[in-house]
Amino acid sequence: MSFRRAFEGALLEILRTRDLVAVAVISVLFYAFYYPAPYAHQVVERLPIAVVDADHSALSRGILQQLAAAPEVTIAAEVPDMAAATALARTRKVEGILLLPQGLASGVASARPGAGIALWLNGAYLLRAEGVGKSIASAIATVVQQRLAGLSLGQGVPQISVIPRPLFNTTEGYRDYVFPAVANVILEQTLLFAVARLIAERRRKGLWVRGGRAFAGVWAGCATIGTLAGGLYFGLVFWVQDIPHGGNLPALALVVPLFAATVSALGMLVGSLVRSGDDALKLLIPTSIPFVFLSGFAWPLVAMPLWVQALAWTIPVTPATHLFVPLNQMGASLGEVRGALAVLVAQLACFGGLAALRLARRGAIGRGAAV
Amino acid sequence: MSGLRRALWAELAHLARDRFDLALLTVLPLLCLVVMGGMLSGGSPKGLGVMIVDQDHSAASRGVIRAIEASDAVRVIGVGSDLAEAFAAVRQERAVAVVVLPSGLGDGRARAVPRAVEIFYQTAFLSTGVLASTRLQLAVAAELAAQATAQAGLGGVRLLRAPLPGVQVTLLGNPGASLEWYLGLLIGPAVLHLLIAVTTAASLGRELEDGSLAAWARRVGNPAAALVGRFLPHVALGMLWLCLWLLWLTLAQGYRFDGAITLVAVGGALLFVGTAAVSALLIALTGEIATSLSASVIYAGSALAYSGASLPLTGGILFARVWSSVLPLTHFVALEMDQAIGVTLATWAQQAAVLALVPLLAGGAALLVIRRQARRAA
Repeated sequence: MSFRRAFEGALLEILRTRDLVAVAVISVLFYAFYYPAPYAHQVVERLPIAVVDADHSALSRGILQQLAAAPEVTIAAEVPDMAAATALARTRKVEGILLLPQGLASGVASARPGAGIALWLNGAYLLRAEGVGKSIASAIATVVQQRLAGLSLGQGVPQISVIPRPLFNTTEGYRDYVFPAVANVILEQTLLFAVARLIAERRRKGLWVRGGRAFAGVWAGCATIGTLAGGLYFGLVFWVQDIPHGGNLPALALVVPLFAATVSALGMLVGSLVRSGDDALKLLIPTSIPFVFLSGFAWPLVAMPLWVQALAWTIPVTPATHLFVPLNQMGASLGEVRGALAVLVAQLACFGGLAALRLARRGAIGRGAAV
Repeated sequence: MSGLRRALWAELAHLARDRFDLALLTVLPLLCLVVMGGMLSGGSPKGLGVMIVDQDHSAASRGVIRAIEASDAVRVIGVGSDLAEAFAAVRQERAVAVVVLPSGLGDGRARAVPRAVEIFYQTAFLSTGVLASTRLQLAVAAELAAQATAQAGLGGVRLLRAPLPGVQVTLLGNPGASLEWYLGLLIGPAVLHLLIAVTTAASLGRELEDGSLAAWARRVGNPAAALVGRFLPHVALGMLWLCLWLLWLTLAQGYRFDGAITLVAVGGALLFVGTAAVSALLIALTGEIATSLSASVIYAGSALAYSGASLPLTGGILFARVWSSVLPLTHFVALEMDQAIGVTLATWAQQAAVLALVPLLAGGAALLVIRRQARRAA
């Protein structure tokens, strides 16, 4: 079979077969809007907290007013004591408790230690607790500083402040953090599912034709689908969703086809090893969540034990995440991501070679294959 | 022999015969959980790279650098005076943050424009960047305060503002602010939820004939009992893996539920029964394994995103809030996190009741569809 016939055959089969078009095209389009939806509001909003104001001072009222204006929290209840507040937390009516102790205002005025404000947050949800904790602490600091200024304390002396400045995702939005990373998993898994299923079904039905040109044609056809999906995400979808994008377009134009070819080769290899298209899906689908985390976006790769890091770098999504996020969001140069690029190229050679061994050699015997 | 026992034995016989399907319920979850456990086993991330841009070259700036080096969460990978070079290290992912120590940091003189130590941190990988930034802020602020106190003692000049009342933050259910405990509570159940969704859909899918379960329903007589018997090994193995995961987190890693771990396990059983019921509904409705598996990966594969565990959905768009409340994992995560902080039994019972609705509604709907298919075929 010629390269061209194999290439066109693979493209047409993916586009005409209901199962394959559903995975390789419709799912890709669907996920582009489905996955970012729960993160569309970007930051924590209106988390209910209970307040125990035991001070009843102008300062404590000022703090409550400042908190009422903070978008991250909403004061769901003002209760007289900690017992009532704890009861609300234990029945999950509130996510946190703020205690403004008696003597707070006089403690601040005299700069007396021990006038501490206490905040209890639901730490089981760690990320949101840290965000809300910072927001509340900042609201309190603002009011107390105003109060101190009014009391002429701390004036006229030089200050050295510590200013945190977020880079790239400057609003620290969740959607802008999660979706660019998970998009790589979506692109990888949808292409893997489709290619593995295509090859496995052809083998099961005895339709697989061996030979180098046929193999290369199918590989190129699958990689074309993956490249178009990558272009769609990094071009249109990121633009429509207003996600930081387009930092280094020429480098992306080079790397996206490499990634698509690598994933296609892995898909062909998996498809050559399983009995049927259903088995390919059964095997690959449950890996989706571990692959998300192994890519190192939520838990950094450097914090993983070496054997987990080594395993993570054998999966295409890991170099992809550390190529596409720097190229798209950070505006990195190709030289700056050369390490991840080298890994991707090594994977391409490895998976491509193994898939060719299984599927291209005329004398090779694979179970269920038409030889 | 009852329909339930017949279906149970038939499924067990299939799993004994089909090593691939057996491996999906044994080897695959073992591998996934061992790798995920290995990933988290080091505790909270340490040694995150930091670049220092020292524009002061003074004893004070060296003191700040030493304070940063003393924090085990971060690691100084270079000290220079070129900001562009430091930002390049961030783009290369060698560093997650850049600390700029301004000139005049250590001279103790008042200025018209107050000096500031700037901490640039990358937020494209938000959790890592925020972790590094928080640790750096603490280390730098503490060192500057210590230096100011020392200078105040020597020169009688107050450098820092009057002390603020401290805000003592306590994290209920996670006193050490452990990212490992937080992610561990989420990853294990999410992986198993997706796995059981796949294995149960594939199991019932074997009985499809011409896209219908009618022939199977007629053969087994009582489809409800046959479904329970068929899915029992999947739910039991899912429970086994979940319990092992929770025991690893608590006994081996030393974290603890302020509530009861057994109540989490009961919730897990409800989650897996609900997952199996949804699979039955998907197979009955679509009449295809591949389409059902695709639907499973859509609803179960991204259920963690919709659970509100990282970003709460209050303030989210209507679709996300409605869909989140429909997904079983949302209610399991809420039930599990509630036990981490220890809520009242009545609150647990409410969550469990909501979770129990999933198998009742999805299973009931699946049976209705299957019975209708059987009636039409008759």
